[in-house]
Amino acid sequence: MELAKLLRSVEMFAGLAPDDLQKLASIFVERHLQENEVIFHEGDIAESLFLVMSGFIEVVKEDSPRSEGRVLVNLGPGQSVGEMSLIDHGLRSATVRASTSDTVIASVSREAFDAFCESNTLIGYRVMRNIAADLSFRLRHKDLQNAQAQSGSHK
Amino acid sequence: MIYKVSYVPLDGKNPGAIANIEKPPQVGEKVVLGKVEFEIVEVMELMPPRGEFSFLHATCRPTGKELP
Repeated sequence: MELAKLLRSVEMFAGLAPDDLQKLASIFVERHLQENEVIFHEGDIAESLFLVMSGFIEVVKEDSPRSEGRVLVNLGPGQSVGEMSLIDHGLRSATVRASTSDTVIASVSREAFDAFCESNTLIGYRVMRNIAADLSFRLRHKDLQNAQAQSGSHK
Repeated sequence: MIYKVSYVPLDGKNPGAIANIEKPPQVGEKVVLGKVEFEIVEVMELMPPRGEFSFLHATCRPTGKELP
């Protein structure tokens, strides 16, 4: 899928004008991943934001150095990952890797992303509002997941 | 409309997935999340639509099939 068209379907960039989406597309870099290829490790310094163009990635919490880790969620087309560290400047909170062999991601550096958001007040506001809404969606997803797990454990 | 869907498996063990799709999920539909196939058993609105986005939740159960 063409990157500018993909960006239109990413909630983080909802409400941006077509010209802004074209500018945004020019600062992203596409990357094809092998199955299980790691995008970043838990504890890494955050340098980039990533979007899933196709396939799925899994967000993994490492319980111990020797374990394979616990998959927290699978993220499919149109989802973003890595934005938390870009905003709060913390270390990566989980490991993220491709879960399928047809996974394609697009990445943008922190510097380019910040420059884009700061280039126009309205753009910056909309992107940050959309990031907050996306995090809210994931919390709701997690709440439902926990409720389902508890419901299953009582049967 | 772009449908952002929270998929939550019934078994409570699989972590589920979040993905954007072009058509709304339907009960009975089979979907592959990562490498695991699921059947959708319930669909409901998670949040009111905003702009071009509709936010849905789909409960699903594993069919037992996995991609190689």
